[in-house]
Amino acid sequence: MNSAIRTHDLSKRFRRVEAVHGLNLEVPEGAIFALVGPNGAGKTTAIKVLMNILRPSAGRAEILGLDSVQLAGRPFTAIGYVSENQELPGWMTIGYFLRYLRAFYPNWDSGLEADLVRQFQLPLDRKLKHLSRGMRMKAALAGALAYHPKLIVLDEPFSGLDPLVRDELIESMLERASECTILLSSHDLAEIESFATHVGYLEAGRLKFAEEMTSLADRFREVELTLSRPVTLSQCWPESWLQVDASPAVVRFVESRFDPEKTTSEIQRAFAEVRDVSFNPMSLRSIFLAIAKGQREAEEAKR
Amino acid sequence: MKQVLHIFRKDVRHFWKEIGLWLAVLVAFTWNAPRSWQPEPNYGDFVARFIYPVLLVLLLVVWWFLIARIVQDESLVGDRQFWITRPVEWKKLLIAKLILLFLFIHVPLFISQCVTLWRAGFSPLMSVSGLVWMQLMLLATLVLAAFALAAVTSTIAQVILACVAVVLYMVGLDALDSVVPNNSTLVGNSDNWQFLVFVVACIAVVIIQYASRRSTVSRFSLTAAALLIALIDVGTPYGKLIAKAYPAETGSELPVKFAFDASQSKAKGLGSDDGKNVQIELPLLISDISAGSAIRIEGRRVFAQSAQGRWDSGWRGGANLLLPSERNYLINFSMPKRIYEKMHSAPATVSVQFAISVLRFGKPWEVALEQGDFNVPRVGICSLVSPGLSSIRCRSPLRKPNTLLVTSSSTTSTCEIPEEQRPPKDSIAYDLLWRDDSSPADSGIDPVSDFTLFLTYRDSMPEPVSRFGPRLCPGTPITLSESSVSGRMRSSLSIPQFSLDKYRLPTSMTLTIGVPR
Repeated sequence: MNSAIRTHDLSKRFRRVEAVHGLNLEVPEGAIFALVGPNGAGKTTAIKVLMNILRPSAGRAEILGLDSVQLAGRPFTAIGYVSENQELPGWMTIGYFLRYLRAFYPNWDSGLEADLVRQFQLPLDRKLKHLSRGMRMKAALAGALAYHPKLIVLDEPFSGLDPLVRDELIESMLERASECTILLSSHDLAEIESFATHVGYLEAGRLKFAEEMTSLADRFREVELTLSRPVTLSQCWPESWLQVDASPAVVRFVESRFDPEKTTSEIQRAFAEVRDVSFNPMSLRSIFLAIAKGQREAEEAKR
Repeated sequence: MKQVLHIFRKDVRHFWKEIGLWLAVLVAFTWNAPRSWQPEPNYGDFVARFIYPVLLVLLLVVWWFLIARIVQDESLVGDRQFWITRPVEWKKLLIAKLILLFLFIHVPLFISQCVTLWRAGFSPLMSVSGLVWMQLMLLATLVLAAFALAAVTSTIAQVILACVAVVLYMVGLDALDSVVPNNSTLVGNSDNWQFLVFVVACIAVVIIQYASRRSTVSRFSLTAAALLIALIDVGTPYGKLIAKAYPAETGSELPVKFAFDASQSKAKGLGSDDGKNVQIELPLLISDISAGSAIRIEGRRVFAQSAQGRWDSGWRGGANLLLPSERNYLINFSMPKRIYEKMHSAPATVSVQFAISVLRFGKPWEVALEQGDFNVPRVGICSLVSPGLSSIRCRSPLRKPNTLLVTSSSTTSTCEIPEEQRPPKDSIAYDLLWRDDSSPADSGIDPVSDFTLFLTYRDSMPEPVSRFGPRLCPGTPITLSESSVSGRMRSSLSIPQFSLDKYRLPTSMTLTIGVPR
């Protein structure tokens, strides 16, 4: 499968602060790729480098086959970018804003524009500066979807929006998902869990992992063991077990490479008298918390 | 082109109020300008003269504001602008902005200048090339500077701060000029280089910003250009350039001879005291200026040497005109007090070098003054400021005329002058209008050059003649002759055994309290 976005050791440094470090990322065509991570992880910086808003300090990125530093002018006819902190021309009315944009895009679909205006209930005669945050995001999204972009890049698009607006935006985005690739960043795991096909986790400028949502959900399990008698943990368990915790006769951990047979045999090797085992699927939020805590524990252990 | 026009239409829609304000100020300026030319102003004209500079400043401020707003509408600084992730091509964006500036700044200004010329009594059609020149100069200076500053800032407040920085820089540059050993006004080479650096830097910054929005690089470029301009000021070998531009005089036929006037045994004038310098007066005799020519002293350099030390003033600019009838020439120069204190007790050898331009006057022509406006060939339109006084107010299209000597003889005055105020027969009053460049127009906005010829007697006159000066009335003929520079050279004079002490100018303070020198 071709990649809509591909980066090679991409870094961005602001004087002494390295906001993005050696980012290697592939966003397959047709994917809905969620770049997640805590605030300050470098998601917005990474996206700005991809969009050639910022120049990379090292490494390179390809967007729709084009080097990101050459991304300007015409190539943006195939890219829709919406960011929470983008400065829109506040003096324009929504109607004029859409009319103004129309002339730049050969693929502008006036029918789709009308649909989006109707769907988002956009008041065409209102100035952008007088709109609520949610309405402004809707207007920006309408202006980024109406020309059928091949790639939609959304930087924290739902942050601070009320659930109703968020659902409307997600719905309209998903309606177009079949014809494009979507990269979006978010620090709210719950909001992307329902629709992202791929997820990448960025922390302190480094990509901890990136994979398909289904494989991520498949390989993580919350495991609970009930033992015949209390045990003392010996620290001898596989590396894939995270957050191992034991109360007298119950052991809980997160298995990060779940395979029913393999995991069962590892459990049997680690604990002699297991009375009951349960493997529970995990939410994305629980997976990320387990990863984050696991890494913290590993770092503390190294020290 | 479609995208260019699209952005252009958007800007017109957005900035119609700013454009309207600019046009309104321009109309007010155009309407007011002729009232400031009136030779005998009434109350309204006085107000108009006061308003003129106010409107001019306002015009420039609104102009800069409009340019800054137009450029910053698609801000080139920052990473949050919506347009940078849209298919806006930088060349087309830049062209759209330039078209807007051309149509709404340069074209209205051109029309305003044509109207002003027409109202001044001149044909705009005859001045098209000069007007284009004025527009190009404005583009290369004010517009380009405003454009470059707006391109490296994102708000009007930042533009204002940048302007303050520019003003402070220019004040600093001016101060630097005063401490540079040799005066740069004698040779224009450094000015040309500085102008070139300024223009190239501004154009480079605009292109860098539109092509790649590298604000740090652009700001650094502007700072580097500013430093380079200052460096050119300091580092130009003015001494060598002056020596080249004004070669030492050779040959037997010198255009002027200088000699020390030993008959004047001490300083006659009055000096000022700034605590750091003393002023020395040097009385000279001049001779051998041939008829039909004049000498313009462009600058001078004074050396003093005695057993106690030596001092070199460096080249200092300052224009003085010497006519064939002149016999005396008084110069005074400032010497640092500490050097004076060291050297004044013993006689010194003082050498003076003059950088001179030799002017040859062309065939003169005569014009009889009239009541009201009258045409003066090769000058423009003039009028007497007030009959019986010594001033003629003139206006010329685009620029002041070339170097022009205007004379009037007391014998031909048509004014009725009381006997005691009448000057000696054949006393010549004159004024010289100095202009030594061939540019087709003055720089600025106003296409009408407005100036006053103020005729004075060269020779000292007894009271009360000197109080009233030459009298000009309707019917009084004046003679005009254009001049051209026929040569430039350096002339030297050495005065041995010169007493600095004797020729030190007394200050008003020392006179008042009677402290002996």
